[in-house]
Amino acid sequence: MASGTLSAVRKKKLAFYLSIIILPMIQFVIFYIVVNANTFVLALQDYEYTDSGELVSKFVWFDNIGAVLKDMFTKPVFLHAIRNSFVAYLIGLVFSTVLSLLFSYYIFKKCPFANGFKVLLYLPNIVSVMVLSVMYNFLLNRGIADVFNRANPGMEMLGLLKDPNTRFGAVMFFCVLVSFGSNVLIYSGSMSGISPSILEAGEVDGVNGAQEFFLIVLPQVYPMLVTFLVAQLATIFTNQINLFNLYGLEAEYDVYTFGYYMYREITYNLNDLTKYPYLSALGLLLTAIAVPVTLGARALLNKYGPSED
Amino acid sequence: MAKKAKKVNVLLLVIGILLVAYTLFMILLILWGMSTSLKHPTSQVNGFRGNELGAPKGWPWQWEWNNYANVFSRLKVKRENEFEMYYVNLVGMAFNTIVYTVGGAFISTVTPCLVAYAVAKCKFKFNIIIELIVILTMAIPVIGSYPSEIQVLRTLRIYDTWFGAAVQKMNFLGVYFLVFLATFKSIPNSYAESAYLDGAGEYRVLFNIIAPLAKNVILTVMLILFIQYWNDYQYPLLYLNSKPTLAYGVYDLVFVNPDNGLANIPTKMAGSIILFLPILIIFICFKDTLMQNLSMGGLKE
Repeated sequence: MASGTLSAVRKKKLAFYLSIIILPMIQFVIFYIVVNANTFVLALQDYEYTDSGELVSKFVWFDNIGAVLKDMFTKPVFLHAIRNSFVAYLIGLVFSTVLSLLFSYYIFKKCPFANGFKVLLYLPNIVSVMVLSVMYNFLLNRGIADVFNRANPGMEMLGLLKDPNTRFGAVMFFCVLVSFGSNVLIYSGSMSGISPSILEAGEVDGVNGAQEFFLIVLPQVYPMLVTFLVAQLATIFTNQINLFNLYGLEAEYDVYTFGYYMYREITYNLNDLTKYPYLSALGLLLTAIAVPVTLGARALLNKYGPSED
Repeated sequence: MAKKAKKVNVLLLVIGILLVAYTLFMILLILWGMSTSLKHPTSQVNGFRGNELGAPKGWPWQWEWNNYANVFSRLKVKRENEFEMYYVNLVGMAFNTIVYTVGGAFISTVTPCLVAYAVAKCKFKFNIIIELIVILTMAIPVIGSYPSEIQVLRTLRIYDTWFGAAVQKMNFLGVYFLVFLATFKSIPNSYAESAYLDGAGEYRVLFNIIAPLAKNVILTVMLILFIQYWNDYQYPLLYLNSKPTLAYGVYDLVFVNPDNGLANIPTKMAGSIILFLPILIIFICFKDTLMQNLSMGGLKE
């Protein structure tokens, strides 16, 4: 075939290729690169009103970042957010991840009612976490609390989501409950790729359930697990831990996370441009912390985790 | 010969017990929510007060079905623009929900699908850049871009518009790109090559040959996103403020305490259940499609 004909085929392919990717690439450039660059620019600016009522911007360079750094160690809302963001991640790691893996193992082994449990674990993705949180909220704060208070006239139970001693625990319990959904689908899908001969070999060698799980199944799904662990770590400062679903805009400071604070502040100040630079500076600072932590964790998990061998 | 005693897998037994406990809690929670929605807000006979944890009293036709009727007739969300204050009722919210959900699910599915097809089937060096972009954006967290994104949308004059929302959803980033990439890579090139020999062009091969082969995955992803957007109120709250959806309506009903006689727990519960019933029906119809295991075989470590 003449090279001119091949070139024409290649040109058609290129035209097709470009027609597919051009709009998404433009979208990526504007809504990822430009937006993130603009976050940086916003963080270096301030907005203020002139005497004539006009809103103008001026460069204040690193003043906003300095203010955020100072507030990070002095403002109660940030002190709580730092603690809660990390605690929420650890609770997710210990309870959500471990239980997701165990539940996936149960489904993978096709134990009694495995399919039914699979559907129920996915239920929060269907019913809407907000609907479940409304039920959970009213059950704890009104249902159980009102019944208790009527039965014990001298006492006043606040409701587990209102009582300062219990509300963070109640929030985290709810977060774990609704976290299984897609994780279980993906983990059990990954487990279904395990060769039956490996499991049979284990059975012949007399491994028990726990040994099969830790020595055979877990190493096989480890790459998928690392992906999810890293993805979870990447959301450590964006995780709202369902606070908006449970409290709307009215959560108390002691349950705040950075994810909730950021979303709440921008919702509250949607039309107030003067608040944007501070929030952008906060976002930049949190990104600067999250990126090395996420990449470092990924490297460590890949280096020191169990292997299929 | 004596039968060998079956070894009890203790780990699976413990997991089973945990699953039963989880199941009971979730079912009781949902049943409690549904039964609360059928109690009267104040009545002494079938009221919520005094019977917070029990089932609604009386026969089913004596339950407070009016709670649902009240939500249908009175639920509305107050909105303001620079000219006036106005209300969006349930019909308006339903319309916004359908546009946002159907449009959003379609665009958010088709975009990564098409880009993944281009990367899988067209051999160009730029593919490496695209795959790297997807992996890096998943691995590197970027926090706090809300103010900047709103400012960019306002600068482009597409903030709080359907067009702006469509453009925002038109991104190929995220896990579904990898799902589609793995899917298209697993489809042999012989299908396309036969079609080329018959004179088919690239678009014809894509839409008439390859897409039907991947239709299960495409449908699964679209359904997952449909359900996600149906339940989403945070995106409309921030980016489509003048176009409240049903999910936002329920959020408003629960947290904003409207002055239209709906500020009681049974009615708020009824509103919440109205939101999830359509999705429950869709889930029952498409359960097998939704529950199949999505594979990310293309994910590189």
